[in-house]
Amino acid sequence: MYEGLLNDGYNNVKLVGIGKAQHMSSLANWTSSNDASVCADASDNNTWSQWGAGQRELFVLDHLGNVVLEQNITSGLPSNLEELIIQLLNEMPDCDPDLFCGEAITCWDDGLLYPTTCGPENCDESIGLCSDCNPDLICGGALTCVNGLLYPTTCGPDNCDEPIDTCGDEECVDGEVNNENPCNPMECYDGQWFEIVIDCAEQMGIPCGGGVYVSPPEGVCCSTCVQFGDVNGDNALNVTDIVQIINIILSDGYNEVADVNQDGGVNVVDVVVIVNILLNGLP
Amino acid sequence: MNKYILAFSLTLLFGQYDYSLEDINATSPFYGQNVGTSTFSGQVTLHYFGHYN
Repeated sequence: MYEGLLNDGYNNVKLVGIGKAQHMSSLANWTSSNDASVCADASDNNTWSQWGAGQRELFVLDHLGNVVLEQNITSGLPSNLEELIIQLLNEMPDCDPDLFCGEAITCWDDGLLYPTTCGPENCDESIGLCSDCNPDLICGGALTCVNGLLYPTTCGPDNCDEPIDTCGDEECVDGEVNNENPCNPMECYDGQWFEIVIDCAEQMGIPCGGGVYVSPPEGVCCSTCVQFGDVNGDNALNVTDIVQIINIILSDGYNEVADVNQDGGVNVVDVVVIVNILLNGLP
Repeated sequence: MNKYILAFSLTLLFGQYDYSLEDINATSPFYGQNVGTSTFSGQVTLHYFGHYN
């Protein structure tokens, strides 16, 4: 049976025969055509005593050294002995704790992080997922394509950002521009899309002196600094603006550009201020 | 002294079911070496006690 197990590839099972030193005359009976270890207990038979073994007694130990079977086999081997041994072999871990490994955290094929370069093969437990991200990473503010997904920063997924789009799937023509998002236009260079950085004055904190930032129209990214009173946005204060302000007053409407004195309402006081500016210039 | 310390440690580890006896089978890969349960740590072991004349 032992040789049968070895022939079937079960190499992690060892058979040892323990005899008594005073009965060693027919050693060949035990060693003919097999390479199992054979030992002779010294004349005091201390090992036999320690194990509580009797003549023709078989002990089966698991990989941890625990006795799982102790049986006298004078009448023959247990019928389920081979099955028991195979079961014990299948319970053995597939790892070797004595492997020499590099001391470096390693992402293994199973998607888990391990403390050494051996991964799980030295019986180490995983210390986390390979995909663990760090939201506190310092990243550059540029769209970055990682594994076909577009991320908002240069850290890609490493700072736990969700992808905002796919990328890299199609090549583009050099010089081609994509303005679908006017605040993130893309330009093609060397077959790849790259983000064009738009710096808007309002977002950069540049004050709009004597005016107010007006939201951009569709297709435009940045707001525009418009002088108070320049309701038509033509960069000039004139009677046309006054007419529009009066129309706003008559319609009981509101326009932040027309609210020259910034009192939360558009009324005749705003008209008076603009007229004074036109007549006397800006204060 | 180190041998005794090692033997004591192995006894503690494997307790009652261990030994260290010379392998006298010339065809065994462990021929001439002392073997026991701890020699095959991490493996399934079968220990047959018998004596022959």
